[in-house]
Amino acid sequence: MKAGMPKKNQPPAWRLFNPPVLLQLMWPRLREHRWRFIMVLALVPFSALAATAVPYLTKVAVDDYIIPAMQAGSLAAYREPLYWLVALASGVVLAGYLVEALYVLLLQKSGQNLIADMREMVYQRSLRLPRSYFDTHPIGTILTRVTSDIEALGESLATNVLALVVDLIKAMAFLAMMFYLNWHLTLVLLAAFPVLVLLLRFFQSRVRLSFFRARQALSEATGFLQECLSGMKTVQLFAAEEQAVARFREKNRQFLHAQNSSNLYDALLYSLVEGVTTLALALVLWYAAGELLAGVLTLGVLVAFMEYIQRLFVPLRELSQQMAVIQRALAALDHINQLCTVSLDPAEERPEDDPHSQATEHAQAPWEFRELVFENVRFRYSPEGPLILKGISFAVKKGQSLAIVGPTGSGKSTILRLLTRAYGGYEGSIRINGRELDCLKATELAGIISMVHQGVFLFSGSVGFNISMGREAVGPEEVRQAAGYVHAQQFIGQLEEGYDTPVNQGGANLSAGQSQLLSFARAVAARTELIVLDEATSSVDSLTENLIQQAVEKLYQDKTVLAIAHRLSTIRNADLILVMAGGEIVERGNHNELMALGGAYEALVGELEAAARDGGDGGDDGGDDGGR
Amino acid sequence: MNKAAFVISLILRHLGSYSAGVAAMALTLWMSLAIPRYLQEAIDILRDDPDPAGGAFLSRIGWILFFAVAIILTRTASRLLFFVPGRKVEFQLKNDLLKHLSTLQREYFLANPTGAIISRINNDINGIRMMMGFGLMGLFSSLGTLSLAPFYMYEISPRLTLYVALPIMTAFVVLQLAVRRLRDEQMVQMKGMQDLSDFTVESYNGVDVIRSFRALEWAQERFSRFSHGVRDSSIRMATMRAFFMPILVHIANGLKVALVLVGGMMVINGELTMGGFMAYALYLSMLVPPLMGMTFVMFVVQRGMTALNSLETVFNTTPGLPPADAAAEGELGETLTRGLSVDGLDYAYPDAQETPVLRGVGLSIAPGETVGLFGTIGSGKTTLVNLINGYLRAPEGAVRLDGVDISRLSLATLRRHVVTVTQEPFLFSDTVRENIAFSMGGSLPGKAGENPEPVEKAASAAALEPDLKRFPLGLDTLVGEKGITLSGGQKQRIALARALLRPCSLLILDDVLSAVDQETERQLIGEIYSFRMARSTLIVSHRISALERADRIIVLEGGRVIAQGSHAELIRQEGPYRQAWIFQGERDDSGLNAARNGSGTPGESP
Repeated sequence: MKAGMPKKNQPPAWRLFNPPVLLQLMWPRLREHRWRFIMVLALVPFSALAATAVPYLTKVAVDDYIIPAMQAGSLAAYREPLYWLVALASGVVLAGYLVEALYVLLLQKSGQNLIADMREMVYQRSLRLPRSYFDTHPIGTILTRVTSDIEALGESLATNVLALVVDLIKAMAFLAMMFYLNWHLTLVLLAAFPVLVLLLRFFQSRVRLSFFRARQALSEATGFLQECLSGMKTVQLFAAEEQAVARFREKNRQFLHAQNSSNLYDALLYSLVEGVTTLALALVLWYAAGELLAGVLTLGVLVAFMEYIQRLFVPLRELSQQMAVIQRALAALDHINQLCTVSLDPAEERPEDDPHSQATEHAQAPWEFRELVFENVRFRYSPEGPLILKGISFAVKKGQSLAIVGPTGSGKSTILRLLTRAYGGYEGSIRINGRELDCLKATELAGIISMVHQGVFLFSGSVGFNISMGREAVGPEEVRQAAGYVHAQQFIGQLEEGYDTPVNQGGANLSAGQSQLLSFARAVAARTELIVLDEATSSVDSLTENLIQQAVEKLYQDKTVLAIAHRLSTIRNADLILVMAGGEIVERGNHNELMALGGAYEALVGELEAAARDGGDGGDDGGDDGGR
Repeated sequence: MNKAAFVISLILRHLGSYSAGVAAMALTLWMSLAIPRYLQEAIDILRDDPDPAGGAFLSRIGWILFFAVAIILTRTASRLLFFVPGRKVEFQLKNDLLKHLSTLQREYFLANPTGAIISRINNDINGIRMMMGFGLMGLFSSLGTLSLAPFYMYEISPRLTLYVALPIMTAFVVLQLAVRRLRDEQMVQMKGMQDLSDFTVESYNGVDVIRSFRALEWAQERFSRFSHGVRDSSIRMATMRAFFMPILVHIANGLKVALVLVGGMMVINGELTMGGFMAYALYLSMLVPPLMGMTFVMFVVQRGMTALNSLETVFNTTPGLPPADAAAEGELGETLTRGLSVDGLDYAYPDAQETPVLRGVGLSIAPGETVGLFGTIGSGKTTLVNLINGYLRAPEGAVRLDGVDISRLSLATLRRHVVTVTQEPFLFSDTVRENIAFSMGGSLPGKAGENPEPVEKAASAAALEPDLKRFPLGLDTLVGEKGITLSGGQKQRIALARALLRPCSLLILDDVLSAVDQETERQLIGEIYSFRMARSTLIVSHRISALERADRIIVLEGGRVIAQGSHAELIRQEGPYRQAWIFQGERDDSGLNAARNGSGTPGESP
């Protein structure tokens, strides 16, 4: 199974600087925070100054007061200046603490705001992605972009990158002060630096690679686990549990090996930095001894050096940890950037979404639906895929009703997906009032078409909200009228809080029929002319069934309706019925004409009548699929 | 499973590594804490004997150099010796967990979505790994330093150490309080993040509705509200961190300033040497990391314990299957002599008891017989199949293999006899070969390559050969996410090949050829009939063309068997089978579909 698997073991290069779509999208928000960033930049040197000052003041205390007093054997002359110096040093420590707290706070505030902005921006874009994106990417993956990827980015920006920058600035300040105090000794210390740089360089690429490999091994193991769990039914039906576990173990073992090598580098790097620090200390001490005795160097300078050495080296110990976090953040950045690079659904595009776009949103005058025409429409989902629609032509005029019937896979749902612009790229022509569908914006379309979706989808909100969907044109009065129109007001009235009753977990507290009625009310609330009805296949109790049939009849009278029909009544009463099979329209006409034909339509009606006699019995085979 | 006992058992399992780790850690600590003392001695020797090349001075420097090198080795060893068992624990737990999960049944997977299980496996086991690796190491290293350093400091100057102890302890306590509040806030933030995730998933699931009703603004506002909640919580945490986290480092700096005053006075009075002064300053620096470390250790241990709790609930979940009856297992031979019999089978799903799905279903399949099962959507076909293969639990005595009640058999035994190809074929992102060989349960990865013949035979029986020729690497082509995208029909045929490869007594094909074109379907049906005639086959379909060659066809309608007979018999009687035959047959004959012209259905009709 390893054969032919492309080994992608090179970490993504600095894509951060390559296609910065994300940066372009975030630029306006970054600009808003620029004063805070400038403040932070201004405060960091003060923090570095405070950190540098304390060892220096210690040096002054030792050389100017303590040693002379010790030699004099009396404190008297030095007591007061020593007190002042200690007071000053205490003040510097306190100021250093406050400055550090302040810049961290400022940066975090900006950082967290930017992270939230980025999250919202990514979410907004994600809602406008082409439908095919949702079909090819699991929701879990898109969710990761909006949640943990952005969190990883925020965490790393807020702590690690900042810590690295601040440590670097402080290191410069320390080195400058050390040069000022004693440049020979500093040069001796710097002799340790090439060793350190070589070590870091040696490790950097290896650590990065091993972290990368470990992450890859983990994602492979997780991917396999996900497959195993989704396919658990198949695994169990083939009694292949042991084999699945054995494979998972194999993938985990690869992760374990990758981790062990990254652990080794991590431990070595940590220990080497610690060892080099101690070596530097010994080296400085040995060299200082000569200068100390020759009077070139004072004890105070040595004390200060000891302190500076600690402060210089300690941050390096955590470097490998920080590299791991930063690497994770870079990967996250890469993911988010990729999501931002996906072009939006053309129907959903707004000028502000695309930084390069020249388009402007011109307000559309409200328009009246007159007719919908499909003309020799051919469609395939992917360029190499099979032809799903093989030349579909029909027309619906204002006030007419059209029912499309046919077995699963005959292409009737695809017609709907094209009409609602879930998919584009069809051949032939689909026109509304003579305008090609491809050129219409989703907002224009929503002005004339309302859709009753097959899978009734209720949001966690109130019953009223699930009818209005927050649309401006749909106020409480419209909600009530819509509910009345589809005979939903009766059951809503019986709910404890009426229209304000919360809908739980996608409608768990409502019956299937009630949910369907709500979805009808939702569609009629906006009073658009064309209603697209994708009938649900799940059966409902006979009372609600009756209400739904009445609602459909009313719609047939009052509106233009295009229905993917499963109900006998919906089919029978339509002005025009299209019978589809294999991506083609095989029969067309009204009920009586088609019955007279004695073909596929008649057989279908026979099947439906047989099912209707059985009256909602027979459960639902689909229930089994939950376990897969 | 007692949690403490479990942790101890994990430690005991890797006792060798941990003991060596503790020893290496002790050595490291002893050496690193000795360095300031050697520094002190070196400085003080210089005062008394001002010779930079003096033996006593150089020997001290030599020791520090030796420690520097030795520490590199012992520190590396101690870190590895703690980390590696942590990783091994992680490895073991992950494998054990999947092994346990694979015994759990439909009910568990209905109640626990895949995503939740994965996050549990990754996050919880990660938490336990951290506890068993980093946590234990941090605990020993912090406790070691915190108990040894004050001891050495006390040796240098008891008075100074008393002065130092109070502020450090105060800072540590303040930090702990802050950490507790941080943890509370973190719970708030995690809850907020959870709400945000839930809403995001809901909105992605309903994205079609949101778009067609132009509720995008609403969704964005809702999302922003959750997002702002998370942000505000993060800012509160950041504020606390900004003020509390630098406390320890700055307290240590403050103490160094205090050292200048108090220690300086002592140096002047001759109570402390300059070497002692410098060593003391070094010890002060060494106290900060373990104090920070303790805070982190407590966090890691707490997280690890929570993770153990959550894992415990999974391990304590049992499949809830009655134990298999050894006698019944014994009764059943390697091959069936009498075949399958279903008798008076009633079934309703546990969550919908009032709507029975199957009512008094009876049927039998003799060895070598091929039976078709016809029914429209909702007729109960798949439920019946799932009861026969043990995916759903059949009532006692209703389903028998060779007269043995399957509810007395273990699932492993049952599935050695009954192999099912399900409606939606499930393929792993692996090679075609591995996906087919997967059915030879228990075979290890790589085995498929050693004896390629059976896999190739099964692939050709499933009419995969023309497709394999077009795949870049034939049988070794990767499919799924990282490989090529397969059509529905290709997937179904790979799943079919997988089933054909596995010897069994009863092969159930549950509507498996729905995405295959009619021509291939015909060819496949022929292959299925000829591939291994010895076993029984149950072909479930709503397509007449898949069933017409069966020895017998059972018609299921509304959960009842309403007719039985051969194709020729059934098309002569009024009923759903005949209606479907007309509908499907007429469609073929309509002449609109040139590709399907000439297919034999109407010709075979009387």
